[in-house]
Formats: sequence, C-alpha cells, structure tokens
Amino acid sequence: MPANDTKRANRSPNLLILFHEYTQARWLMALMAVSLVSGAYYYYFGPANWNSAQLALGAHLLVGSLSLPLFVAYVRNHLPWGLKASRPGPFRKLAWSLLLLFVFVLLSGLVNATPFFLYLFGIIWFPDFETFDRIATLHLASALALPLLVFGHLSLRARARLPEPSDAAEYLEQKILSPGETRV
Amino acid sequence: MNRKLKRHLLPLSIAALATSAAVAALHYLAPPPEDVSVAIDEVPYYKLPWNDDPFFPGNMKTADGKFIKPEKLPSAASCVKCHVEQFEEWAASLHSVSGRDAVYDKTIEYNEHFDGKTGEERIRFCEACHEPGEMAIGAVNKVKSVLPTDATTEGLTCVVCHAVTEAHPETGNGAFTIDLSGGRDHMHNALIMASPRDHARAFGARATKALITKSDFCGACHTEQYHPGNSKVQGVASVQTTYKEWKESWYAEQGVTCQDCHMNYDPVAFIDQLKQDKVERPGKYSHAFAGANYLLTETDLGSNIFFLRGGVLPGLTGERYVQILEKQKRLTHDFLRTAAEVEVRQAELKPGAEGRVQVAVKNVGAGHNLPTGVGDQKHMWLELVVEDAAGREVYHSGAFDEEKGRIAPGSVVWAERFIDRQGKRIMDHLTFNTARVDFIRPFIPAREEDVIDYAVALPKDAQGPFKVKARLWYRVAFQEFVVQILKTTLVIPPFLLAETELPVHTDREVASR
Repeated sequence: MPANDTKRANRSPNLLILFHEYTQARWLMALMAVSLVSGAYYYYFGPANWNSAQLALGAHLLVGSLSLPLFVAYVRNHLPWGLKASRPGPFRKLAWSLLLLFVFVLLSGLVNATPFFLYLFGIIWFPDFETFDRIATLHLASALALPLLVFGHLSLRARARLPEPSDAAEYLEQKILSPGETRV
Repeated sequence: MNRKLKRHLLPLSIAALATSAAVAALHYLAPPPEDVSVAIDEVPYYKLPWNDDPFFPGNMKTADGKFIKPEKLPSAASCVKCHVEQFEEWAASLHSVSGRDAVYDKTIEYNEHFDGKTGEERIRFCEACHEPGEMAIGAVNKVKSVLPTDATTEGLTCVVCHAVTEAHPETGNGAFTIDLSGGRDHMHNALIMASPRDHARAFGARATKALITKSDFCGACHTEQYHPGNSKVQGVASVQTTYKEWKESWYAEQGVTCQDCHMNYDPVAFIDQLKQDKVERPGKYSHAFAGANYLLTETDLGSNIFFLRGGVLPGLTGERYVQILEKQKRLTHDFLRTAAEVEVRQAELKPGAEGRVQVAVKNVGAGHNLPTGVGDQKHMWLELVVEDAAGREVYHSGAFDEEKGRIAPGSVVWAERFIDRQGKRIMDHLTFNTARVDFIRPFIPAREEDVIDYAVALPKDAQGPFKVKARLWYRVAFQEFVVQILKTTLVIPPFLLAETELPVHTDREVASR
C-alpha cells in the first residue's frame, strides 16, 4: 500500500467524523432551501390558494423545526475547527455574521411558531399581532439574505485558509491524538 | 467555482428546485377554497318588492352584490377560543344582542304586522344595522328559505365589523359594505397561530383597518333617516343624528372619536381628562362598547335579563353571562354619570307668591347630543323639588310615578316625537307609520347647556329656609311603548344622571351661583 493510502486508512475514523459534519451541512443546505421556498411561497402567494398555502406553511414549520437541532449539531462540529482553520479578517467576520443570521432566522421562526406548538398542546397563547408581524418581517428579510451569506462563506473559505497544518483532518488529528503522539 | 461550493450548492439547488416544483404543483392542483357568495336569484322566493337592491330599504351592501353562504359567516363563538377577552367584552355589550333583544324583536314584529303586505321585506331597513348577518345571507324575507345560524343571531357579531370595507356616515341606515367575497379563514386554527398575518389581514383588511378606528364607521348606523321607503315621511326626516352631532362638536375638532370613549377601558378617566381639555387617546381599545342602555345590563332583573337580551349567547354559560353583565352594568352606570351636570343657578322663593328657579342642564361629557339615538324612546327629564324648613315638599315638577311608570304632566322632558299622518303622537316606535318627527324639547349639544326657568308658586304657609333639589333623569323607553310592545306592566326604572341641591337660607333670599 502506498504511503499516502496508509495515511488515508489511518485517518478513517477522523474522516468519518468529518464526513458526518459534511453530511450535516448538505442536509442543512437542503432543509434551508425547502424552508426558504415554502416560506416565500406562503408569504407571497398564500392568498391565491389557501389550500396549498397551508400545506406549504405546514412544511415550512416542519422543516424549520428539523433544521434547529441539525443546525446546533452542525455548528458544534464545524465551529471549533473552522475557527482554527481560518485566518482572522473579513472571512471570519462574514462567518460570524452568517452564524448570527442563521441563529436569528431559526430563533425568530421558533418564537413565531411557539403559539402553534402551544396550540397543539391545548394552550392558547400568542403575542400581540404587531410584535408577531415585526418578527415575521425580520425573519423573512434575514432568511432571504441567508443564501447570499452562505454563498459568500463557501466561495471565500479556500482563500481564507491558514497555511499547513490547517486542514480539518489535521485539526481533528490534533484533537483526537494524545499529546506527543504523532502519525506517520 | 470551488469544489466545496459546488458540493454544498448541489443539495441546496436540488432541494430548492424540488420544493419549487412541489409548491407549483400544489398551487395549481389544490382546489381553491369554496366560494362564499350566493347569487341573489339563487335564494328561493327572495322578494324584491321595490327595486333590484336586495337590501333596500336598508343601505347595507356586500362587496360583490351577492349574499353570503350562511355556513361561511363565522359565529363569535368560534372566535372565543382565542379571543376570550374581546368576546366577553362584546358579549355583554348591546352590539351582541342588537338583533335578539326582546325589545327590538317585538318592535320588529309590530312594524312587520303594521305593513301586512311587505312588512317582512320593509324591516330590511332596521335589520341592516341590527342583524346585518341575517341580511347578508338573505334571510330577511317573507318566505324563510335560508335558515339562521349562530352568527346571524348575534347582531353585530365579530365578522360584521371586521369585514366592513366602506361606510357612509352621512347617509346612514346601515350604509356600509361587508366584504367577505375573498373568504376569511381557510387555514387550520393551529396554522393561524403560527401565522396570524392572514387572519389579521382577513379581519382587519387595509380598508377595514383604515375605517374601523374612525367615527365614520359608527356613523353608518348611528345616523338614521326616514323616507317614503321606510315610513310615511314625505322627503327625508332625520331621526338619529348622533354622527352629525359629534361631527359638529368640540370632540370632532380635537380628533376624539366614538371609539375613544365608547371602546375605552376606562371611559370615566378618559372623559374626565377631556373635561379638562386634555386629549390623550387610548392605546388599546375594549370591545365593551360602553353605552347608555342601563336596562339591558340590569342583572337585578333576575331571569328577566335573559328574556330581555334574547337568551344566552352561543359560546357562553348563563352563569358567566351574568358575571360579565355585572361588570358591564357598573361600566354603563359610571359612563352615564359622566355625561351631565345640573346646576341651580338662581332661586327666588316667596311663600304665597310665584318665585323663580333657574336650572342649567349641562352636557359636559357626551360627544354628541344629550340624549341621543332613538330619541322617541330614550328621553331625559328634569325633576325639581323645593322643600321647606320642615322638610315638607312645597313644589314638585317632574315627579315619576313608580307604579305606572309615567312622568307627571308639565315636566321638562327632552324627547323626540314620532307623529302620524293624523297628527297623533306615536308612542310605540311604529316607524312605518311615522309621517313627521319633531322634538318636545331639543336635545342638548355637546359641551352646551339648556337653561330652564321655573315659575315656582309656594304655599303661604311655607317656611324658609328652603332646599332646592334638581335631578336629571334618563329612561330608555316610555311606558306606553313597554305596554304596547312588550305587553307587560313592568316599569322600566329611570336612571339618575345628575343631581344637585341649593339651600335658600331665608324665604326672601335670592340665591345665586
């Protein structure tokens, strides 16, 4: 087995973790797309056909709810090595903005969906309409901005990488291997 | 494009495209919500005796000119699940029973019978304001081919006000337009909780929202005009001018609307600050519609209150109804007491001779005339009593006979008169027979006063010092009306609006303020 292949084989448990994070990211992208399209459809075209609009809203709530734990898991995996692997500067700022915007979109959605979940448990509670409306407007605006930031983040990440050792596998190695232990 | 970007954009693009395709398919394949309207000619046997307007002689309209399917008119009982506070405020108000209260119901029957041929259709004039739901489904007709629903028995139910898009306060007689043509809630309640935007838009459409906070909205019904289509009046006679009275008042100049007082959570405090020329409009409005009908909140009447209010409203228990009526009763009483003040300005009393007492009745708190509304019934009178040193009543004007429910002849009474073609006064609100309307004594405009001079003849043996007592009374109906319409001897108690007392220390003293 060539030396390179041995190195890859030895890294397999680490790569599995990386692969896991990578899958999470792809799923998150997919859920984000579904949420965005269903939400935008409901918002802009709902009154044209309520029967389809309410299905779209239902899908939006379901997918948005699933996104939240997935987002938390993904950030938990991604943030530590991402911070180590990137150089400080505009990219970092963009990354933090993306994170904050994502958190805001999810939390604002969750806040506005709270009366829905409470209703399912037989509890009637809702904030005044003006509050809801402000949050909903911000939720929509930030959700529309989100893909742009994602695009920027993914486009710039290669340029923002630190020199060796900066790749994720290296980081994971450092994290998993005991101090002083090195791989050949 | 870098590799990572491509890899991440792929699921994003696939999901976006798949979802777009799915919603597009749904949009075109899902059946649209059912139409809420019914063409006029689809309601069997609906009679149009005068013209093509299905609501004539009432002035109400629907946006598409059609009737609304009864099942598409939501009852307030369906709103109570989430809007308990607003529902209970409204339920205790007069608006919730505008179509079902016994007094109105019997008056309608009476008028219907008077006009035997087209009575059932002519009462569309009354129903436009009192039961717009029933009007909107095409149920106000001789042949009842459309059955009433809960919503249609709830008078000015939630959907009526929250679907109005147009109002003509100068025209009145229910000159508003209900727009249910686009339908209302089509989503499951849980989803409305997640996104109330469209629910709010539906019940507070831009046109509705712009209108619902203005006095113009109220004026559509609080302006009533008689004309040959609804009475025997030649030309037009103004019967209720509450909107116009407000429009010409200080309150309109200051931008104080009907809602500011009548939908205020603390109308007494609000009116008190208005009395000091301060205008701080409320930020939140109540649905209690504080008003002047103290009879229909009188819980001391026991079960009679249920009779008078036409039973218990859908969505309420009898016990809860009484509880909220108790609250409304206090609100009504406090509210009424803000309206007027009486002042004995001068008293010149001489035993054995004719003296003089001057009393001013001031409209200090109402943003319209005092009284206002259905003026042939809602009336006000002044009671003046002079007592001598021994506490003996030596003069009495405006006495009320509690047994017979009548005011003594010669009293100072503020009331409107309906007069028939023979010149006879109509005491039982027989609108369809009214040929002329005038006043016994004109009502007192907002922030104005009416000064009454009494010639007071005291007996020779009357000994000073005297006490001059003035009381301003209000009553929602004349006894003749109660007997004729309700077929009962029940005496409607009067309500004391204001009172004052002036001691006159010696029998020759001229007391003045």
